[in-house]
Amino acid sequence: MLRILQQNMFPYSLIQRDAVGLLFKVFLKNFEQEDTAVWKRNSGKDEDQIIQNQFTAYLCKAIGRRKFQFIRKQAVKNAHEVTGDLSEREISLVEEIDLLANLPPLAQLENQQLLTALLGLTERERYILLAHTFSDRGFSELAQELNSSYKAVSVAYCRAAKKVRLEMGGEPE
Amino acid sequence: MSFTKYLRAAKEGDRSAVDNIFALYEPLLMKEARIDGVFDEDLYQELRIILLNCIRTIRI
Repeated sequence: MLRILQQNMFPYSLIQRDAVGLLFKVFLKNFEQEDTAVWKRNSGKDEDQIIQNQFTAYLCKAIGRRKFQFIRKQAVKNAHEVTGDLSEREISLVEEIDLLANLPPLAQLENQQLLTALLGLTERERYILLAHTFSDRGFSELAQELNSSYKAVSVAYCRAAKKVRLEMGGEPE
Repeated sequence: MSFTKYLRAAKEGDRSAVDNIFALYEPLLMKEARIDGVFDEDLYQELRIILLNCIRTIRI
């Protein structure tokens, strides 16, 4: 029976054997639970079947989103993978050193926790926070540059500082 | 037992009802867990988590 399953339903040779085994178990379970309406063909007329269809649609949507996210993440990971070729690796190392020296000050931060906290902010908040703390620029000057009021900039600064403190595990005040 | 009853029980944390719903949606998850025709175990695991979340969050 397993062989029939393999031949008819999954012609892919790449699917692992345990996966087919799992499917087989599920298949057997179907026969055991024939009283559950869930295995019958769904006509979509019964109220119960409508709810089941709604749930399936809900699930399919969520699955689609997660799958898209997963594939994109994997593509990013693959793009950053270092090849096994030694000559290529040497070149990439040299490039990395050059890159580090030219990186903006934000990327040169060594405190990983602070860096992630800063990256969690919006661009505007980050700009205000860094400009005020590192470059010692006043709120009024920043407000003029960002086309907003003194109050708005100071509030944005306070919020950003609070977020960073929270992110780094400190007290909000 | 109807699907709605299973779903309600699963929402309340009945383990066997959750297992039943998992068994029901296993083929769908298996199908969706393939990338370019290759079964991906990590994705399969993620999708199972999604199914659990869906059971918890759906409003009936």
